[in-house]
Parts: sequence; structure tokens; C-alpha cells
Amino acid sequence: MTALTVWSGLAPAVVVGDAVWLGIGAAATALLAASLRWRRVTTPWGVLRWFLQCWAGRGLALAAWTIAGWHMFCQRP
Amino acid sequence: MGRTLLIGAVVASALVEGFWPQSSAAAHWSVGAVLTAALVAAVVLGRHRQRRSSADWVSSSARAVARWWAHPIRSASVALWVLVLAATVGWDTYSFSHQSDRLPTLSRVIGGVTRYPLGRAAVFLAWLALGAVLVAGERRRAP
Repeated sequence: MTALTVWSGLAPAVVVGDAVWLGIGAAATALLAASLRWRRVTTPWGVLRWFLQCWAGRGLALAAWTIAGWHMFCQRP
Repeated sequence: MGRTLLIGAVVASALVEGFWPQSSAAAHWSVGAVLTAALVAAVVLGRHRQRRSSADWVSSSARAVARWWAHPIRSASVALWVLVLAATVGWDTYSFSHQSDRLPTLSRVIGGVTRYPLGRAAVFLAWLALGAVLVAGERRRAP
């Protein structure tokens, strides 16, 4: 079974929204790979470290984490 | 030994959370307890141990943006991360506002994993690990 056959079987199940999410995921993965390859490219951990330098940034990050956790584990059916 | 026990306890709690029905009161109370404990721990562990003041953080960040050309590659990569984040938030908001089967929201995509107990446990574990970093990471050493 070729990759083309597999894709043609899956393609009808992929709606337009899924394709956009795949594109955003691919962009994030490419950027992550570039940041691991070249040290001057900012990594996600670098962004996280920037937020955690002071109370304001840490508070923002914790607020986002709190909302995401409550939504994912308590609201999402 | 202590660290192994801690990791074991965290993994066990993630598995328990994963196998509780999402709509159960126990699942809600446990997430609420984790949130409360994390926020209290952040205050207790972070008191007098932030690397800089919030005002200094804002002003130095503004200076870095104004002088973006001093580090063009770093500035461009930060701009690209901001773009990815903005695309995620923007597309999620657009999808949510349309409420269509053809436009799944990010939480619906993640829900494809968290509807299975092991997937829910794995996502819960990752969420706990991120929370631990947010609570205790990047602090100054104790004076």
C-alpha cells in the first residue's frame, strides 16, 4: 500500500479546519526544529523563561495554564 | 529515592484522573485541588525569588523590541513564535464562533485524545509537568 493510497483514503475525513490545524502544527514543528538546529533561533523554552522572570509574566503564564486545565479536564465533554 | 516516590505519586494521580469520568465531581475536585495547590506553591516558593521586578521586565522588553535590529535572527524567530501563537488563538476563535463540524476548535482536537482514559492521563501528566515549571522554574537562588 503506497503513501498515496493511504492519503487518498484519509483525505475525505480531513475537513478544512483540520487542514489548518495541521498547517499550524507543521509551522510550529519547523520552527522548533530550526531552534534546535541553530542556537540563535529562540526556542519555546526561551519564550517560557522570558515569562518566568517576574511576577507579572509568571502570573500571566499561570493564569493561561489554569484556564487551559479547567477547560480541558472539567468543561470539555 | 524521594524524587522517585514523587514521580511515582504524580504518575499514579494522573492515571487516577485519566480513569475518572470527565463529568464526575471527583475529577472536578481533583483539578480544583491541583490548581489551588499550584497557586499557593507559586506564591510561597516565589516570594522574594523572582529574577526581576515586573516594571523592569516590561521596560527591558519594550527596549528589546525597539532595538530589534541589534539581534535580527533572535527578533525574527520571536516574531515567528508570536505569529504561530496568534494564528492558533485567531483560528481557534474563528472556529469557535462558527460552531461547524468542518471547523473543529483546538479543544475539540485535544478532546480526540482526552476522551480515552490513557490519553487523558497523558495530557494531565503533561499539564502537571508544565505547571511545576511555571510554579518553580527560573527563580533566583535562596538568599
